[in-house]
Amino acid sequence: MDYNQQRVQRDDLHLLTQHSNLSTTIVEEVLTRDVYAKRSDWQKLLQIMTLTLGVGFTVTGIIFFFAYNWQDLHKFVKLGIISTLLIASIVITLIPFKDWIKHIVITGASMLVGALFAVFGQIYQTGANAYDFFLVWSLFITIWVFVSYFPPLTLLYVALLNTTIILYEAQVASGWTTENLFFVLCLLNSIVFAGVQLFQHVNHPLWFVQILALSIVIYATIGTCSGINNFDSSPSSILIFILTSILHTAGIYYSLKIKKVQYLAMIGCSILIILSTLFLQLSDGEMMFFFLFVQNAAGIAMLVSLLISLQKKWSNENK
Amino acid sequence: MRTNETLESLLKQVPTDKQPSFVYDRDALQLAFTQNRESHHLTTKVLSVFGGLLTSLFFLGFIFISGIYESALATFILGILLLGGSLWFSQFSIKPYLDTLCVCAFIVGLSLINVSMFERELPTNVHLSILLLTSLLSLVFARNYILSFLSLVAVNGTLLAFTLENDLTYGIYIHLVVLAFMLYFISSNEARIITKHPILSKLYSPIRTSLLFCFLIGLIFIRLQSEHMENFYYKWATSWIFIGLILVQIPFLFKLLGIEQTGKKWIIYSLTTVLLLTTSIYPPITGALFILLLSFRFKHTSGMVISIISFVYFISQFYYDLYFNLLNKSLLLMGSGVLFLVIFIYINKKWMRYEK
Repeated sequence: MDYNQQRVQRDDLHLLTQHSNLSTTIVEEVLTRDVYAKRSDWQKLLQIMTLTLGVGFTVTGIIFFFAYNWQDLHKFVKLGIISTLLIASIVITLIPFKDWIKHIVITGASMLVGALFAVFGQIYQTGANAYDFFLVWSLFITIWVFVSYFPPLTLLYVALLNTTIILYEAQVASGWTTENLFFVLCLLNSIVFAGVQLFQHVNHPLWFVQILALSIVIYATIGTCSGINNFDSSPSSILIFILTSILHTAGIYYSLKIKKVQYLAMIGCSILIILSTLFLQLSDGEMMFFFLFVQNAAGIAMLVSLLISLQKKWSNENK
Repeated sequence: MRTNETLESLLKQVPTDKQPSFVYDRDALQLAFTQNRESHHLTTKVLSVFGGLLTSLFFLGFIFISGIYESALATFILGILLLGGSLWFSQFSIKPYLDTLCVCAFIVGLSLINVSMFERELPTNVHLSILLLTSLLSLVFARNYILSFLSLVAVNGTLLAFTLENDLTYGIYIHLVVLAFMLYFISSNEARIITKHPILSKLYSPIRTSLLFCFLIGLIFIRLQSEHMENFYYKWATSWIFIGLILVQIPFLFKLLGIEQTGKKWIIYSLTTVLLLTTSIYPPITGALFILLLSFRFKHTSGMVISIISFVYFISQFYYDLYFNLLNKSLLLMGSGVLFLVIFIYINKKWMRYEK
């Protein structure tokens, strides 16, 4: 039996004490043996804490030092410092270090690109719109993002693209309706999601894929609800309706295929919210609220029991 | 990855042979075990809470539009009925999909009781006392994770509201110190508490998480209070109590890490005290460090995550608020940073040598 097999989990132990007369000494022994932090855990914690605090404080101190003198620096020195850091970090990635070091350095370099453009804009007062800044930043780090598949960097890239679109709508495209905005955002993130899934051989961390999926569902839901509310004034909402239906159907099919419940949960909640908005359009009297209460309670109850039974079925299949 | 997929393998891991009088209720335990395995998934829990909030929203909307709230008595009675109903319902081992209704009834019931008292325009202290009493009663009778959690948060919220209403600006510090001692007591005596009574065992997790959450809210609350000079001593005292609670745990650490020489012990004690001294005027940092160490020592995972995030947040806030100019701040930061790096290199070298 390996170490993992021998451990008792805390909630199992609690269940045991609720239905037996287990003595305090045995419980204390099991807790100390299997649950509480051990010597190696403490060593790791102290090492990580001192290193993180040390590096964090020193780097912040250096940044503050430069910030203090920033006003007095000549503009070429300002640009020079950032450019040097940028070039240095790229050179580091070419040296054969371990992969995770290279990934972190490239992410740092991507942030420095943003800093470079920000300083450039500040010195020369180009008067560009904020969305220009994000657009240029995204464009310039595109190659790095594709070359080095590093989920946090990809997430940063997606966030930058999303910000570009949102700022574009706010500052330039006055003709866009809310639904159009969410349609474009949703479409963009879905393309990224599909693109990521195509790389089947690479291991995708769960949190990364789920954050992407969550953003898609949220955009689709808000867009559809907004479309329902403004249907008379903006007939182009039909676009977001179609997109949402396609995405939800695809999502359900995908979720059943890869046997993960999280996407079903998100899509289920989204459908309930959209239905509620639809019904609220018909009437917003007190009986409608009561009806919506019943609908949502029943909906969530059915969703939860469906997910539990699916989860049970799939974990039985795995055994 | 869960270990121990069956009840039998779980029982094998527990050294029950050391207790000749050991008996257990096989059916109840098997039922609880299977239910735990089925619904422990994070998605179902999040879904239940989300569903509870969503349904509460619509039910409250129904109540407000129908105008029932105009009669304070009717609202109050309805609130009590719903609250009582949800507490009564939580006594039984209910199906997971009914959790949503339970949470909804609880939230709506509590809100209605609150609203009815606003309608009657009671003096605030009386209003708060009734809320406090209701929350305490809910805490005593709740048998559900979420209900216990919410009741304790309600109790703490009412107490904080009391201090605000009666202008007791030092109240928050006393509140935090009491919470800190309660957290320490509960965390260190886990075995004794959960074996005392099955109900205590069931309520242990939600209450501990809830206390941690309320402690954190209290720390954030300090920032919102205006700066009163007379609170200076309270701040210092609170900070030093937290530091004391941290130092008290160090002997235990010495034993675990195998540090025996008295000379080394003194160095570590003084180094820790010096480091903590630099931030002692700001209770949130020492508070966050205290719950970080406590959660880590007893492997309370949600506690660890919350305390790390809050620690980073409070340190940033501290340096942001500091009235030094940028140059002095940068020197202070670099100095502390170098000190930490030195400690890291020393620890690393010492333990690498030990491993070899």
